[in-house]
Amino acid sequence: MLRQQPLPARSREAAPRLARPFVVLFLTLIVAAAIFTWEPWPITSFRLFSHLRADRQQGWAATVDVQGRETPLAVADLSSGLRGFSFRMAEFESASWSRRDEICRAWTAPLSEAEGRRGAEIRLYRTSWQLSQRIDGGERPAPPRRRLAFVCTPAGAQDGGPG
Amino acid sequence: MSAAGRWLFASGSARRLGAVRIGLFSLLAWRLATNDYASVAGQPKALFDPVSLMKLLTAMPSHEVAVTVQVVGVLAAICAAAGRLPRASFPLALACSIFLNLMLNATGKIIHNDVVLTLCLIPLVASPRAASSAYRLPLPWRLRPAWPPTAGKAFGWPLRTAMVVIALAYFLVGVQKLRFSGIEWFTSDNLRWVLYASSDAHSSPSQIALFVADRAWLAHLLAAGTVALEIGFPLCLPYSRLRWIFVPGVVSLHLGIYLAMGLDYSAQALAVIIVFVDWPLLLAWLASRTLTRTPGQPLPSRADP
Repeated sequence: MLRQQPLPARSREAAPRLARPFVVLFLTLIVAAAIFTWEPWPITSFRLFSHLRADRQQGWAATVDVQGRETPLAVADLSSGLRGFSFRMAEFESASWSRRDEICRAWTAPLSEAEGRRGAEIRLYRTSWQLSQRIDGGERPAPPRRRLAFVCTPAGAQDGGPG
Repeated sequence: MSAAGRWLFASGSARRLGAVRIGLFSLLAWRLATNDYASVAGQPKALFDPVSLMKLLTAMPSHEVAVTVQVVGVLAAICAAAGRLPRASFPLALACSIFLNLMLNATGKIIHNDVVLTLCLIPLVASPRAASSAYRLPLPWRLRPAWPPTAGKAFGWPLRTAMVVIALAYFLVGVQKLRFSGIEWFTSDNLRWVLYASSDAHSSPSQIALFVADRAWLAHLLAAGTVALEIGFPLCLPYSRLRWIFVPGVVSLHLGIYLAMGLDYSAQALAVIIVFVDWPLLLAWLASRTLTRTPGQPLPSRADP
């Protein structure tokens, strides 16, 4: 068992005069950010997985038409700096058409000419599926249902139609 | 003064604070060196969605700026871990870290992976002299090392503030779950849906996530345990024996989340270990197990409650 010894008396360095107000302010800010849901990073509101999930899952999928063949597109892999596709789509859905045009131009610009994709459209599908529908091994029985919501071209965004 | 104030500003060990400095700044150096800031550097202006101080900029910083800040940040963090130039290296390392993390946060989502590490560094940055008193890398041209003070009130509050920050972080995460979802967070199938959705988001299913999600009783148990661990964490501040439960508990939680969902909260888990383990006491205990100790020779004092 470890023996506890009293602290030596030879050194008694005091805390700085401003330490107390600093600590009070710092800790108050952390609590206030959580209460008022502020995000002045590195102080955050600490909302991690705080909202309930439902059985019905919704998401987004992007495809690109390459020479008449539609293939899945990982927007984040187009070039560096295009991270955050899933987060961006949350904004995209409710954004104005001018804002959608801006985002579409940013996404379509890096499509590679070498792969024959320059000028190609990016199709944005709304996907949905039931999380509880599983087969043996936990796999989903079928791909998610999808509805064409938007089409991104180098000129801007277009409505995907009734789908 | 209140009991909390007396605890927070009680005397502390210079060595323990020095060990925490080495640990946290070394962890920061590793994070700055290995995080992929290039994935967002040079992002088109249309996709720039800044938070906090990044709103002062009009566009995402370029690759060149990101790499420069990254190199300066790593060097400053190494310097800070060594206890050298503390008044410059501590704030510089922290500023570089905040800048680079704000870049990651400017893509439409708040990223929490490095929040706790960054917040724990702030009390150290506010006490550079105290935090660099012990275990400072000696300069080769200085023949006589200065004897650092061993204990005092200056060394207690930065470490205990970091402890409170960690306790608050877990507590607030738990409170926000109950605030926005109520007890349904653990009484409903919420965690099962989280795990199924996480597995579906990966190219190959996560067998651990599916194992838990397929068993409702296990998902409920883990969800309730998670909230209890988060809400209860502050108890280990006044009752130090509870740290033997809560610290391994939250480290296991982060390990489980990583294995099941692929979310890397290693920086947070390591920050908890660095702050809550009494390193000088542990080293002395290890030494006492391996070396012959003179009978009656005392172990180092445990300065922090």
